[in-house]
Amino acid sequence: MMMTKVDVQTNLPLSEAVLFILLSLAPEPKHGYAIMKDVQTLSESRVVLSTGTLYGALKRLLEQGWIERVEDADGVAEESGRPRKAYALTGLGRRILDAEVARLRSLIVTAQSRIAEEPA
Amino acid sequence: MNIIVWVVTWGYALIVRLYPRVFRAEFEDEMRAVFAAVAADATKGGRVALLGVLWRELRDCPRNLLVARWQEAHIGIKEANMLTGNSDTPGMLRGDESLFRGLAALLSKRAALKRAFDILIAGFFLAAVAPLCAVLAVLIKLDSPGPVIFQQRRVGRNGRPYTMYKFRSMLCGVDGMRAPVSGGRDPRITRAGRFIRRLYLDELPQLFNVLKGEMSVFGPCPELSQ
Repeated sequence: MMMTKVDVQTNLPLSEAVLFILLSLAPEPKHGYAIMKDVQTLSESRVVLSTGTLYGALKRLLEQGWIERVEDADGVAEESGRPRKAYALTGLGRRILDAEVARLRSLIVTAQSRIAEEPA
Repeated sequence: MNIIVWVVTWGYALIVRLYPRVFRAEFEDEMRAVFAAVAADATKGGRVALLGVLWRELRDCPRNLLVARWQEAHIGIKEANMLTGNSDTPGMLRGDESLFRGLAALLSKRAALKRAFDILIAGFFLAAVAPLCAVLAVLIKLDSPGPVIFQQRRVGRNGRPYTMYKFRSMLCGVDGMRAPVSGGRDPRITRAGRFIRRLYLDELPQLFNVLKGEMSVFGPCPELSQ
């Protein structure tokens, strides 16, 4: 799929919840519970997702092709015996995450340089 | 503690049931499993922590339902963008501000629907009662001197004043006169007026107010302007 720079940019900025979900999937695929825990850790408990919010976001992210379902390697759910579903970033999802991080970085750089200026 | 566990379990079951069927078909099992795990974690923190888990679900519920309904209605990215006024991403992904804008757009869409409904009903009804109105106009004119249509300032939506129309059922120049204290005939009301009031025909001209968008077919009784 062709994805130009402009297309990625139109999806920014991300909401905090989505940013943290994508971040938590960046190192490796995770299932729902692991995403929740990770988001809580990453945000220092500032963002605590409810299951409704998490799966609402996951559904949308799946539909947009930012993430995909994969079979969880080390996991069979205890009760059901079925393989647990895990979620992984797609190439598009990673590009969007990278673009968002770049946007935030340039924001920080701008903000810091302005704050560092001598008061007039 | 047991009762708390029961409340949380059943509370969550109820909340999950609020989500649209399509959404549940895809995610309910997973959501329940995740919730069970989160609740199990919270049990270590005691009642408050456990209730907090349920509270979180409740708190997020309205917003999530809205998003889920959009998704269920297959409001694709394009339509969601129209609703949210965003270029590419629907409400939830953009944060709450755009969600509220989306909600506003949804509501204004409903307002447009209501308006269309009003025009249709009022137009149809006006056409149907036009001959009757002509007869009433003649009756009122013959019965007592004065205009056929009685006009009064009322306060409409958002406090906007407008002129409400009714068939005149009273004598002219009796605005200051009071209704009789007890029983009996109100001397201000004309013979034709009594007739049209009994059948509520005096309200018919308000259909024009509806057509003009000042009133709605269904809505509160407008207050008199001071």
